[in-house]
Order: sequence, then C-alpha cells, then structure tokens
Amino acid sequence: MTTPDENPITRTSPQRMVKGILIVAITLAFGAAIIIPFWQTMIHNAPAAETKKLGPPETETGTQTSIGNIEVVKPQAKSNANVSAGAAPSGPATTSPAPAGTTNATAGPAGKPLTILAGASVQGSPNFDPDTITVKKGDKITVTNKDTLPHTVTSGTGPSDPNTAKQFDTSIIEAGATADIETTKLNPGQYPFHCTVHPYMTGKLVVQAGPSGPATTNATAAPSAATTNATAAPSAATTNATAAPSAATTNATAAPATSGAATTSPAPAATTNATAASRTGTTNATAGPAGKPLTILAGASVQGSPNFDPDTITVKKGDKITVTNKDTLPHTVTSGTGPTDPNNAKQFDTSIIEAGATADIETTKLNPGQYPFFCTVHPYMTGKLVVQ
Amino acid sequence: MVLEVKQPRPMWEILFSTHHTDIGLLYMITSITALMIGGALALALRAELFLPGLQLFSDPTSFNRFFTVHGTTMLFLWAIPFAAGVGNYLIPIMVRYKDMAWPKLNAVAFWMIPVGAALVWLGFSDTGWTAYPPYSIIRAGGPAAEMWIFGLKILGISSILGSINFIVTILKCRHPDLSIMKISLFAWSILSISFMTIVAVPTFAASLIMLYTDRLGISGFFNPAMGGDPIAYQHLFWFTFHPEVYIFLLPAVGMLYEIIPKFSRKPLFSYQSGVAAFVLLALISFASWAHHMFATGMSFTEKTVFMVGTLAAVPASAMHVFNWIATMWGGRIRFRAPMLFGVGGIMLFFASGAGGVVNTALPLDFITHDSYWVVGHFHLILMGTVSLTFTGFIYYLFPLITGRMYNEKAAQIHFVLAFVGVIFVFMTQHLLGLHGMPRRIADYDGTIPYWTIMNQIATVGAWIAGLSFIIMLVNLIKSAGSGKEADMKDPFEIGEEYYDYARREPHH
Repeated sequence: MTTPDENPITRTSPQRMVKGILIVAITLAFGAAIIIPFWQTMIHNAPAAETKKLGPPETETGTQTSIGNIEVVKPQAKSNANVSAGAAPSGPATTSPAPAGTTNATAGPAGKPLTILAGASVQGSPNFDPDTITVKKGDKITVTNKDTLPHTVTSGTGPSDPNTAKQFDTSIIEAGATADIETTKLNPGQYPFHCTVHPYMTGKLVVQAGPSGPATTNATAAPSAATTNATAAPSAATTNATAAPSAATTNATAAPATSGAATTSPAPAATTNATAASRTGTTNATAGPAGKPLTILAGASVQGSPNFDPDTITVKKGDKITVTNKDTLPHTVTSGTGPTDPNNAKQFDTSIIEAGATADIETTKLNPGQYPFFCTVHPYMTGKLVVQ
Repeated sequence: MVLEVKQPRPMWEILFSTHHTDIGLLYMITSITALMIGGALALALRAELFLPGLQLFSDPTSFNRFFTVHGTTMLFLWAIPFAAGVGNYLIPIMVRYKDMAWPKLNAVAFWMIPVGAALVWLGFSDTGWTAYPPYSIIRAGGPAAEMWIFGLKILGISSILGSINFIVTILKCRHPDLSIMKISLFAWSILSISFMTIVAVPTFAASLIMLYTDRLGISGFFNPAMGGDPIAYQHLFWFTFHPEVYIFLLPAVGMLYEIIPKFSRKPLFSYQSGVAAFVLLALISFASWAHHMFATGMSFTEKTVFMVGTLAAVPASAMHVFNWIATMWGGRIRFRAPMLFGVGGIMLFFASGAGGVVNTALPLDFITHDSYWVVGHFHLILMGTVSLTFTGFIYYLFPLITGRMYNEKAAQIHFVLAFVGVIFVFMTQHLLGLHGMPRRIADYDGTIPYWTIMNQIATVGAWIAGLSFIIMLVNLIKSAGSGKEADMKDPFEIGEEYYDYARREPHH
C-alpha cells in the first residue's frame, strides 16, 4: 500500500468528533447499565470471617473443600469421641436453638472447655482459649472448634517433636465440631499441645493430681446420657439437668445419621447450636448482680482508636467489674502494663472475651491501689483500674 | 483524520481496523477514558479523606473497592495502554515500515483491553491492586475478586502480545538503511519495555492462576491454613511489578527524548548514553523487586542485596536526567505545552527519585513502610513524571492525529494547575506519612491536627489537578472538532521537523 502523500490533509471534523465521543459515551453507558442494577450485589461486603464457610461440600469429590473433607472422614468413622455436626438436624429436640442453653449439645458429661477460637488458623491470632488449661487428673476436656477450618489438639511441642500425639490426640476436629480429651491416663504434669494442621497454634495442658472437683452438675446429667458417645459443647456444662433427657433422645436419632453419612460435613445448624451454647456459657459468667461496667468499644482493635471505656475505672474493693466486649474481635482485660511485664495477669485476667460477650473481674482479693491493664491480643489497648 | 488511509472512512472502519494508526488511536482514546474514570475515583477517595470520619462511603470496604479500582485503572488501563498507543502510532513511522509486524495480532492485543477493563470495572474488587493473600484468597468478596483476577489475566496477555509485536517490528521490520543505533530513543524505550514485559509478566500471570485456585480452595499455595506461604505471592507479584514500574516509566522517558531536543531546538546531547541507560534500567529493574518487602522479615543479606540492587537504578536514571539537562543547556527553549509538561515531569522525577532513595535505605524503609509516604512517593513518579509527560505527549501528538492545533493558552493553564495540584497532593502525602498516617484507610484520627490539615491540603490539590484535566478534556474535544488548522510540517512553529507520516519509504 502506498501512502497518500499527494492527497490533501484530512482534518478531524466536528461531526466525526461527535461520533467518536458518542461511541465512547454509549460504550460507557452500556457498562453502567450492566453494573448499576447489580451495584448492591456487587458492592456488598464479604461476610465476617467467623461466618464465612469454605462452602458446603455435598459430595465426596470435586467440590471446593473436598480435600479437607476426605481427611475428615477417617477420624469421624473411628473416633468415638468425635461427634460430627451431622447429628444436628435430627430430632424435634433441636428445633429451638434458643439461648436457653438446653440444646442437645449438653448430652453427656461435658468436660472442661477448651475453645479453638474463630480465626485461629491465621498465624499470630489468638488460637486456644485458654492457652494454658489446668485440670485435675481424670477430668475430661471438651474441645470446641469455633473456627471455620479443621484443627487438632495434639500433645507435643510441634510436628518435629518425636513424642507427638503420644499422650493425647483428638485427630481432626471439623469446624464447629467438638472432641474430648481424657486425662485419666495422664500423669500429673505439664503437656504442651499444638494443632497438627497449623503447628504455630500451641497451648499447654496442666494435669493436677486428685479427683475431679467441679463436675457436680455433670454428675446428674451423666446417667441419662451415658449410653451415647456424644460429647457436648463445652461451656454449656453449667446448664441444669433438664437438658439431659431431651439430649438423650436426640442422640439416639443422631447416632445412625452420623454413622450412615460418614462424609457429612458440619451443617450450619450444628454451628448455631454450638455458638448458642457457648454464648450462654459466657453470659452465665456474668449471672448474678452485674458489676461496674467496663466497655471495650467497637473498633478498639485498631491501634490509636479509643479502646476501654472508661480508660481509668475506679471501684471499691470487693466490687465486681463487668467487662462487655462491643468490638467484633476477641479481647482480654489483663493486669499489667503489657506483654513484656513479668507480672502481667498476676492480679486479674479475663482471658479471651469473644465479640459481644461479657466477663467479670473480682476485686475482692485486690489490695487498694492502681492496677494498669491491657489486652493481650492488642497490647496497645491499655487502661487502669483503681481500687479504693 | 490526517492519517486516514482511505478518506474519509466511516467510523466503524476505524473501529475495526488493523492499521497501526487506527489501533494507536483506539488505544489512546481508551486510555484517556480510563484516566478520567480513574481520576474520578481518586477524587472520591480524596473527598472522603477531607474530613475524619466516614462521609461519602458507607463503610471502609467500599473505600477499599474504590482505591483498588483506581489503582488498577491507572496502572493497567491508563499507563500501559497509552504507551502502547503512542508506540503503535510512532514505531512504524520511526522504523519506516508500513505497519506493525502483525496487524491482526495488534488488533487482538487492543481488543483484549476493553474486555479486561469491563471485568475490572464491573467487578469493583476490594483486594487492593496488589491483591495480597491471605485476604484476597480467603476473605475478599466474590465475584469481584474473580473478575479482577481474570481482568488482570487478560490485560497481561494483551501487553505480552503487544510487546511481541513491538519487538518484531523494531528488530525485524526496520528499514534496511536504518541501523538499530539510528532509531529514535523512543523506539529504544519501547523495545526495552517490550523485552521487560515478556520477561516479567508471565510470573504474575502464573501467580494469578495460583491465586484463583487458592480462592476455589483446591490449592493452598498462599493459604497459611493449608501450609501455603503468603509471602511467596509477594515475591512473585513484585518480581513482575517492580520491573513494571520501569515499564510505566520508560515510555515517558522515551517521550521526553522526543520532546526535549525539539523544543530546546538543539540536538540531543548523547544518544549512546540514552541507549545505555535504557538497557541498564531494563536489566537492573529485575534486581530490586524485594525492596517492596523489607518489612516481611527477610534476612539481612537479602535486604542488603536488594537495597544495593535498587540503588543501582539511580545512576542509570541520572544518566537520562543529565542527558535532558545537557540537551536543554544553551538551547533556545520554546515553552509550548509539551515542553512545560516535560520539564515539570523531569523536576518531579528528581523529587520522586530522591524519595525512592529514602525508601530503599533499610532503616528509613521501616519508618516509611505502609505509610502515606509510600503513597506520595509512587504517585509522584506515576502522576508527576509518567502521567504529566504522557499528557505533554498527548498535546505533542495532537496535530499529527487530528491535523488541528489545541488551544495553547488552555493547555498552559492545564499545566500550571496540574503541576501545582500534584505538588499539593503528593508532597503533602510524604509529610503525612512521616507523621505516621497509614495508607489505605478510609478514616483517620481527627484528634491529630496535622493529619486533618494536611489531608485537606492534599484534597484541595487533588481537586485542582482534577479541574486541570477537565480543562484538558474540553480543550482536546473542542480543538479536535474546530481547532486552528495545523501546519503539518511544523505545527508548533519552532522551526523543527515534525513527524512525517508520508516519509516512510516502505520497502516491503
């Protein structure tokens, strides 16, 4: 092709400019017509980390979480300790996940609670609550996985420990499920444990000599549920004995469901029950006369934001302080100036307070004086307690 | 239009043409549209930051979506397509070939851009333009993040296809009389960035696939819950995108080599040093990616290596700046709009380069990391140097494309406002960073008086710059339709040669 150099120069005309702009404008308008009706759908925010599931796997292969699921099949089949959440949608007994605490989760003598917190899989986040769990020899520990991912509680300091899983091992606990650890065979002493899936999740179990002490309420519940292998959501342990009968029937129907569908994954209902139960447990802690309020404000986790309200709380010796966590993340109120303070948590420590939950601080044992406190999760959140 | 092959043609024939000037025009129109959309998003972000608290946005995630789309738009839909558009226009003229080597491939490369743009704009992802895991793989809302991933994938393929075309055109389709050391420095800059694109972009293309399978949950490359390593993504990402910074910059450098000698009316000081600096920058750009990640806990040895690698880019950049200054020195400079933008771009290149040296110095990097300092720094280079030079080149090519002259006075007002606006916004952001304001926040602590005042200065600066680009848009549209007819031999009346489309002497 030769170039038209002898041709007169053709300059852009207004008409062609208008046409060109119209083409651009119509294209953009077309795009806008696509996006504007769907704007709210597209722009809606992702669900909070606690509630987002990796997707409900319905078949054994092919779906999103099938890898995680296949691993789970085995422990569910052979571990009698591990009640899969598949038991949940079974009987009429489960129809009310009301916060009354009488849900089917209380079947069987519940052990001391050990919670795997939501978000525990993220390195650096709080993982086990409490980090160090102290039990009497013979006590049962009930592990509740509140995270959205599978975890384990396995004895040993980590994958490189040659004695890993020698003392105890829950094997995989699916999201929302629970598992039990028996301490009858453990000698008194300290047992570090970790999660084999996320080895940076570590904790410690302290077994003390002597028979089980505080399991009085459990004793009444035990006979009725003795025939089941089912375990309970941990913090519901303090609920009354009315829970037991209904729980027993539930578990009767639940058992075949569990064995029949070995691949069943945690159904949402089960998660709800577990949550409801634990919420009850936490609020039970504040039952009785409410103390002086100390609020952890929403947004407190962001460094520089206001965190504790009031920053300096003044109480008379013996007063109770009720801490309410209005933030969306777990926090603690722990005495001391920060994580590097050798005396931190010596005076008082609420341990993890889940979002929306409350906890109490007793001041009966505190001498009058000033006690700085902080949040172990976010050490920049500080405050001061003045006891008069 | 002056370069129309057969005249006058219906619009659809330009739209679906494979001729290099038509595709170049489409590239430029698309990229200027993207500049306006990205700019509007930036103004919304700045308006939100005018006062502490949330005013414009209902929640911080919407803010995140806006800055994600702003960043993606400006980098992949403005900077890269504009350089490709100018390259399309000028490279065949500069190497005296009838067209690009593969005209249809060229058209394919262009038409991928609207598709990628649609995916990015319709999705409105909230991952940030870096899409770091674990957020982007376990939490970020779909389908926005998936659309972003596929959009970027398509844009990456487009730039690789464009690069292959440029390399073959420059190396194989050059006129036999034209040696490689005689082609213009702009062609050298396009050649350098094309090679860099081919080496750098596949890494990101691979990590996008890994990101996607991680999101599906069938792999765990970057998912710590499945034994993956989020830091690995950052290495893959920056292995692509540190060279990409130079891919954004070098076309602007090449354009300055076109503008500066013409408007100084003096031959270029040193062609060879310009070529050497292009080759050096292209190589060194691959030796510095991890300086974006000093805060991720690398060993001291790694950090030192990447610090030195980063500093090695300084001499090569300085060679370019010296070359421009030595060219201007003693020249009879005419400050038409392209020259104004060029000189302004050089000034801000120096400022942002100085800030870059601070960033790469290990101890200082930890202070400035993830603060507004970083935002100020990279915007100063991308807006101050790259975009201002590109804007100057829009004015410079305007007569070639339309056969008409833009309004010089409006263009000069545009330059003054844009330059002042850029300094208001981005210099202030450097200071904000030093006062501790973190980047990517929708709300800030209103009890720190410095922060509020400086954010307000920055927002006013952004409005000034935004106004200046509206002036440009009006000027371009009005002048393209009814501007003064340009003298095609010397439209700027400076007594220098202009591009002569007819003088290509095709040899094939």
